[in-house]
Amino acid sequence: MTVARDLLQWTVIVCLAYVVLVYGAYGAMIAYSMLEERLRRRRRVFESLDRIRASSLTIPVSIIAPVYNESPIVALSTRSFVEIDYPEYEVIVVNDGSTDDTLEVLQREFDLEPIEHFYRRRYESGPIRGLYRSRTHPKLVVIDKVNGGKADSLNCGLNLARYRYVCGVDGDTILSRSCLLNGMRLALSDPQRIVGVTGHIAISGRPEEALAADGEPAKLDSRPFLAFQHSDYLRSFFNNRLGWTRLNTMLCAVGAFQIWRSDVIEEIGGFSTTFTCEDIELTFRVHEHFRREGREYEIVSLADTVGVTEGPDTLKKLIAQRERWQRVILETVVAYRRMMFRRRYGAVGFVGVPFFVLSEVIAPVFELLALLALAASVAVQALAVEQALLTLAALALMNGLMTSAAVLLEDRTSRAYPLGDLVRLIVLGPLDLLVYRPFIVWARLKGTWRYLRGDQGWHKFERNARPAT
Amino acid sequence: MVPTWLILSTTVVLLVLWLALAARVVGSRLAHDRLVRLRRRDAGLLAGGDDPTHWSRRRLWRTADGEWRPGVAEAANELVGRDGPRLRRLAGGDGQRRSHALRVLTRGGSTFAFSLLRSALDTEQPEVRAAIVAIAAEQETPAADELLLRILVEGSHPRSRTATELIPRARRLVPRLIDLADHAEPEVRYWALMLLRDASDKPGVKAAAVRCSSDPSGTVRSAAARLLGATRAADVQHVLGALLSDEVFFVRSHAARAVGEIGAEDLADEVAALLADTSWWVRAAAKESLFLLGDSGLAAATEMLQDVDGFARDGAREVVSAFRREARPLELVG
Repeated sequence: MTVARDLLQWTVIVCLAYVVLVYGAYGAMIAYSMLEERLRRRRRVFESLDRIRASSLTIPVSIIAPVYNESPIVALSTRSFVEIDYPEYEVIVVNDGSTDDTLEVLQREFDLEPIEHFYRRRYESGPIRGLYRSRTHPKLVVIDKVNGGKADSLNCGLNLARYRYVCGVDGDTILSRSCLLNGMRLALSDPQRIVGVTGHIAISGRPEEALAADGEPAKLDSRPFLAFQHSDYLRSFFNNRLGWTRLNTMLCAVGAFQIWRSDVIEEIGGFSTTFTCEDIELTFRVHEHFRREGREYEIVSLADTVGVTEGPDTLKKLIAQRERWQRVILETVVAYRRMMFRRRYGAVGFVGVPFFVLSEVIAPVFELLALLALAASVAVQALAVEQALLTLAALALMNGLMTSAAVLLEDRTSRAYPLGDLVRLIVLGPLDLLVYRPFIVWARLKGTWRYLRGDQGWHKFERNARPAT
Repeated sequence: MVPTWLILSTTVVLLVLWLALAARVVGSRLAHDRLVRLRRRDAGLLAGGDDPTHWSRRRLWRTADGEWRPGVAEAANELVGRDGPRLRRLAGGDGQRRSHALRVLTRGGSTFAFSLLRSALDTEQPEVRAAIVAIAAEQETPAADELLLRILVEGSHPRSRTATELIPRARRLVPRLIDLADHAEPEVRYWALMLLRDASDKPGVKAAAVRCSSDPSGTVRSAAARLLGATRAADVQHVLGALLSDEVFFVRSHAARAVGEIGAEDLADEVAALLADTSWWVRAAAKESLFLLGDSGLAAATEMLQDVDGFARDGAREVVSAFRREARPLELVG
C-alpha cells in the first residue's frame, strides 16, 4: 500500500511538473505571439492592400487544390478559388480519382472542355486521365488523375503549375477573397528570404455560410461543438504560429493554405508520398534543408484569417480527424528527431521541435496519466475531493486564459466577428477542458496507438450533411 | 500532498487573470468600434463641408490620423496649426507615435514634414520605414516623388514595395527613371526598367531599354526584354532577336514573350526553335509567343511538329491544338 501511495505521489509530482513546463512553454509562446502581432499591427496601419491589388509588380501564384470525394462542397470551394482578389493567378484543381461525382460537378458548374497539354514531369505522380479547362473561368484547370493520395495530387499539380509561387489548399476550404493579397503582401516584402507562408483557417460546419458578402470571414458557427473546434484552431494559430514565426521555427504550414516558393519545393523534391499527411513533413524538410545548408530563410504565418474549412460536425468524425493528426505528428517528429538539440538546426532544434514534442507528442500520455492519478488520489484519499475539483478548476482556467489570449490576438488583427461571438468563445474557454478536451485526448491516444501499429491510412470522414438545393 | 490553500489561491489568481483578459478583449473591441464610428461620423461631417476649426484636438487627431479621404488634410492642417511643436517633437522621437505624428504633419502640409521624414529614414525600425513609404505615397508632390525615389535607390525598404508605390507616378518620373536605368547598382537599374513599363510610350524609354539589353546583369537584361515588349515597337526586333539566344534562361523567356507582344512575325522561327529549349520556362514562353504571333506563329509551330526534339514536337502540337480552339492568348498552360 505504501509503495502504491509513493508511486501515486511521484506520478502526481511528474504530472504537475509537466503541467508547469507545458503551460510555461505556452505562456512564453503567447508572449512571442503578442510581440509579433503588435509589430504586424503597427505595419498594417500604414499598409494599403489596394496598392498591391493595383500593382503590376505582384508575383503570380498557382493555386493547387487536390480533391477526393468532395462532391457536396467542391463547387463552392472552387468558386471561392476563382473569385480570389489578386492580379495574376491560376487555379489547378486535381481530382484524385474520386469515386463520387466530384468531376461531374466540376464539369457542370465550370463548363469544362478537354485540352491537349504536355507538362513537365518534375515530380513523380499517378497517371493523368484527363485535363480540362473551364470555358467560364479561364484561369481554372482541372486535372483528373488516378487516386494516389493528397501529396501525389499536389505533385501532379506542381507539374502543371506555371508560376513562381504555389499555394496548396484543401478542397473543402472556402478561401477568403483577400487571402492571396494578404499572403503575398508578406512574401513580397522579402521574396529572397521568405520561402513559405501560411495563415489562420477558421472552422465551420458550413464554411460557405461563414463569409460575408465581401468574401471575408464574418460569422462563427453557433453550435458549441464547432465553436470549441474554432477556439482550438485559434489557440493553435494565434498562440503558437505567430510566436513560431517570431522565432523562425514555424513547424507546420497547414495543408489548407500553404504558399511556397516553387524553386524551394523543386530543390527538396516536392511533397513526400511516404507520410500520411504532407504539410508538417514538408515544413520540417524545408527547415532541415535550409538549416543544413546554412542559408537564410523564413517561413511565416499570417495573423489574418485566410479561409474557412469544414469542421467535423459529429464526435466520430472529429475523433477520426484528430487521431490522424496525431499519427502525422508522430511520424514527422520521429522521422526528423535528429534535428532535436543540434546546433546546426538552431532555434528549430532547440525550441521548435522540443516544443512540438512537449505539447503534441507526449501530451496525450501525460494527460491520461494526470487524469488517472487525480482519480486514484481521490480514491485512496491522498487528495480531498475539493482539492481535486480545485485543481480541475485551475487547469480549466488556464485553458480559458489561453483561449482568451488567442481571441484577443485574432480580434486585434481582423475585427471580423461580432462582439457576441467573441464573448461566447471566451466563456467556452474554461469549459473546453471538461467537455471537449477529453475527446481530443482520446483521439490522440488512439492516434498514438495506431501509429505504433504502423497505420498510415487517411480515414477520411464523410462531408457534413447539407440541405438539398 | 499539496496544501488546499495553495490550490485555492492559484485558482483565484487564474480566475482574476481570466476575467481581466476577457475584459481586455471586450474593452479593446468596444474602443475600436467606437473609434470607427466616430471617424465615420467625422468623415461624413467633413464631406458635408463642416469646418474643423472648432473641433477639439482629440477629435482632430482622430480624423487626421485615420483613413486617407477627403477632408482629412484640412483636419490635419488645423491640428498642425494648433499643435505643431508637439507634433514635431513626437516626430523626432521614437516608436509608433513617431510614425503617426509624421503622418499628421505630412497630411497637414507642415513645412518640416519632408525633412522630418528624410531624417526618420535613418531609424533602425523597419516598421517606421514602411510607414514613411506609405505616408509619402499619399502625397502627389515632387517632394514625395523624390523621397520615394531616394528610398528605392538606397534600398532602405524592400524595393518591390517601394516600386509598388511608385507605379502610379511612373509616367511623370520618366527622366529620373531613365537616369536610374544607368545606376551603378543592378537592382536599381532593374526596378527603374520595371517602372518604365508603365510609361513605355514616352520618349527615351525605348532607347534606355535597348541600352540595357546588353547589361552585364541577366536580371537587368530580362527587365529590358520586358520593357521592349511593352513598347510594342517594331524596330526593336533585332534587339529581341539577340536576347532570344541569351545565356540566361529567364532572359530568353522574357524575350520570347516580348516577341509575341510586339508581333514580330519575322522572329517566329527563332521563337519556335525555343520550343526545344532546355528550360521549361523558355518553352512555355515560346508557346505563348507563337500563339500571339497568329498565322506566322502557327506556321512556325506546324514546322516544329516534325522536329527531332520531343519537347519541341509536344510544344508545337499544343500550340497547334490551341489555335484550333477559340483564341485565348496567354492562357496556355505548360
